Amino acid sequence: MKRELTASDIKNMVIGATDALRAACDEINALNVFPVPDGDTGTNMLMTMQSVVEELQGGGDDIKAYATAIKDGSLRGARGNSGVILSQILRGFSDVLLESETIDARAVERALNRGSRVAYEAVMKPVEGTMLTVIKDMARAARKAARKSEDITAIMAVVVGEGEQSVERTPDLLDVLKDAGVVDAGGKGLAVMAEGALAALKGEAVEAKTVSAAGAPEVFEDQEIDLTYLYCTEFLLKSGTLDIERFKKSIRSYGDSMLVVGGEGTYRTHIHTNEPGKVLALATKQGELSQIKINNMREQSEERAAKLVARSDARQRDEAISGKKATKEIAVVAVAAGEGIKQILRSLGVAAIVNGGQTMNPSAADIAEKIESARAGRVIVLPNNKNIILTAEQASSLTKKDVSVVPTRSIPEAFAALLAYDPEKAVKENREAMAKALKTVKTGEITRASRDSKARVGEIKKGDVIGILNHEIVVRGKQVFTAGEKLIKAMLDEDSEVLTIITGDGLKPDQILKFGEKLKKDYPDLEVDIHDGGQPLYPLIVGVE
Amino acid sequence: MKIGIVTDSTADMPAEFYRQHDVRMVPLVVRFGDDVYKDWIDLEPDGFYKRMKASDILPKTSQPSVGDFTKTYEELIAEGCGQIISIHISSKLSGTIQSAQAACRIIQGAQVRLIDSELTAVILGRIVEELAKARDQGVSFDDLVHMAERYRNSGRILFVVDTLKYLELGGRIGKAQALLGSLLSVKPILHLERGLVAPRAKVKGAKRAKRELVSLVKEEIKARRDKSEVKVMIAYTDNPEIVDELKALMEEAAIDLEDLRVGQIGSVIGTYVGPGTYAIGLI
Repeated sequence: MKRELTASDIKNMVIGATDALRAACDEINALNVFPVPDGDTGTNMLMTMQSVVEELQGGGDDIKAYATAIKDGSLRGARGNSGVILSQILRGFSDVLLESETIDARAVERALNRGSRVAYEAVMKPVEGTMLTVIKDMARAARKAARKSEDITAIMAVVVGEGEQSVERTPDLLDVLKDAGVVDAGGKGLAVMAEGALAALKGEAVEAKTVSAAGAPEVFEDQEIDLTYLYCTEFLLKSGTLDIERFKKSIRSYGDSMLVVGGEGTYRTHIHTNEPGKVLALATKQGELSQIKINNMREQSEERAAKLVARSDARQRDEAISGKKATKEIAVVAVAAGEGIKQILRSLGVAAIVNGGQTMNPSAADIAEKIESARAGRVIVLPNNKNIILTAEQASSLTKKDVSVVPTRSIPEAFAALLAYDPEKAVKENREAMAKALKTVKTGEITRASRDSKARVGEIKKGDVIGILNHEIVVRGKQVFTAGEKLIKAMLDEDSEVLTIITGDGLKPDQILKFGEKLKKDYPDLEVDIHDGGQPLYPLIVGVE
Repeated sequence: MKIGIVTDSTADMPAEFYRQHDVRMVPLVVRFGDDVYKDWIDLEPDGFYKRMKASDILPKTSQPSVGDFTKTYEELIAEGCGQIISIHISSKLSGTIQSAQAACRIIQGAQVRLIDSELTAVILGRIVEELAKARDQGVSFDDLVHMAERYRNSGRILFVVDTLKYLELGGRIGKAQALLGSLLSVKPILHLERGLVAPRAKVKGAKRAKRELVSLVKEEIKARRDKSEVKVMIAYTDNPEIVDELKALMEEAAIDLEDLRVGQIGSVIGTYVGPGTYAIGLI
């Protein structure tokens, strides 16, 4: 009978939950209704948990230290909406751990319920049929079970069972799930995590139930929790010819917590190793590397604390030197991918840019870092993707600066907002003017479907060119420019005056020229502006005003 | 005692205006290479814009000489003016007032009050018109000076240029410098603020620019205490068709156009803003 959780139990459960998430990552990603290559729920939740695990391994050894690590790690590492909601659940959960003398059955139940409550409070408009419902159901089941039993393992088993059933019910609560014939991805992620945590508690290895698109399922052994491997090594590998299984096998022996996710020629690789050089050497044989990060995990947590102190010292120094100047000015921080887009944003006055990466997926900490680096006390953040809005708001809680998030969902909206930006005016005025301005533009996007899907325009096969407007697939085709023309036609109305096209990475200049000329011919009254954005994955981003 | 009123050619009024209101105008000079023209006297706006678009070289401008001013003041004194108001283009945009200042130190026989309007173009012309009318009604010199100062404070001119390059090349871009780096093709709406060119708003698209300009004018009028006293004017360069478009937009915005004046931006100001520019001013 497990009456009490030890520090070691908690650590194991977190790692078990993460491992289970890793094994089910592809399966969870496949549940995302929208077949676009960013905002994959499985990946987001996994990377959020990855931050937690790193944070756990960097700090102290008691329950309080672990609870703090869980809270801070998830808040900082949160990516995407599902990552942010998960981090809020974990925040509530950890708060109870910090408040409780012993972690008994009642504490566990309270922790789950607090996590559920905090998550609901964090979301402006909670929607049932999402991971919010699943955590609510699981927490409720825990409360009922805790009345009858003091055995944590038994209570967890009830929670896991309820989690699975709640996930199965989500299509009944959310039409878009029912229409697509899937369950909610975030909810599934939570259920998988609960299962992994229970398995770890019981001392069992996590069973890989999923068959990933890449082939054989993963098998993970129980890990010894200590700093056997010192360097957290992360990089993006661009390779058109990667045999992902073979690559994984080649680097696995160098460390643990290995993760290779991605597809379509770009893979994010993550491993804890003592020989980062050897891992990088193997990777460079497969393709080109970018965003390479190697961190000494033992130093990381000490460094982080020191950095925060140093930054606040530096800021105080700056303020003393320049009087009130540093804190009165405003700066804009924007999230973007694509060199051309970044240049345009900078020319419009953006002070710092958060790299959106391949899938527009920065963590809350990534955004907070740029907020800190901007030399102003008041910062306006432009997320430029609906999946980053929550993350940006979370980032504001990681910094002492005055942060306002103007909820831009696309680069054309960012352009419109920046035209209304006036650094000489107050933050409130800017926020209102920018929020008003972004509503004047319609955004459409051309990309390639990242998986098969159903849409009103017909069956979508993975790889099809699709045109998205207002979060709906309105165009389907085989060729980028013809689909682009159709999308533009759907976006224009009699009041349209300006058409802005941002071209992505990999398009040929002569094709772009021909495209522009055709548009000018077809729409002689329209002002057509074409910019080289260089963004990945979205060959065309279209703004209509 | 007669009161004389003097201004410069950047008031952008045609010759009959000065005759009609008994005001003296001292012309600035525009140079196309070796060809020298007195603004509004030797070269009228239509001719200027045609020449500007056809020419490879950019025109250059010069302020009036000290002698031009002494001559004008002495003529007024000979006519019996013991007091003179001399109101001119912003000292931050032109050295005209410096020439006038030097002239003031030379001449004798009249009290000359120099006023830096901090403005220019049709709005300067409108202020001069109001001053002349008041003078003709017998308003005292001191009151005229106060009137001029009030108009200087309340006067606004907002304008849209086709391109910032003329302002930049001519060195008059002022605070609008900040707009130069923008890689987006943006239509800047500018205004004169404390005598300098400054950005007021940025929009995409020619149609939007007109609407935004009118919307800003409406805002300016709303901020006035005495809305019924506001006088509006439209100025164009080589684009007369814009006048009706702006009129229509202003009527839609319920702006009172009873006292509306329409004028053209002359060659001196035109050198710095370029063809395609249009403006709305109010005092």
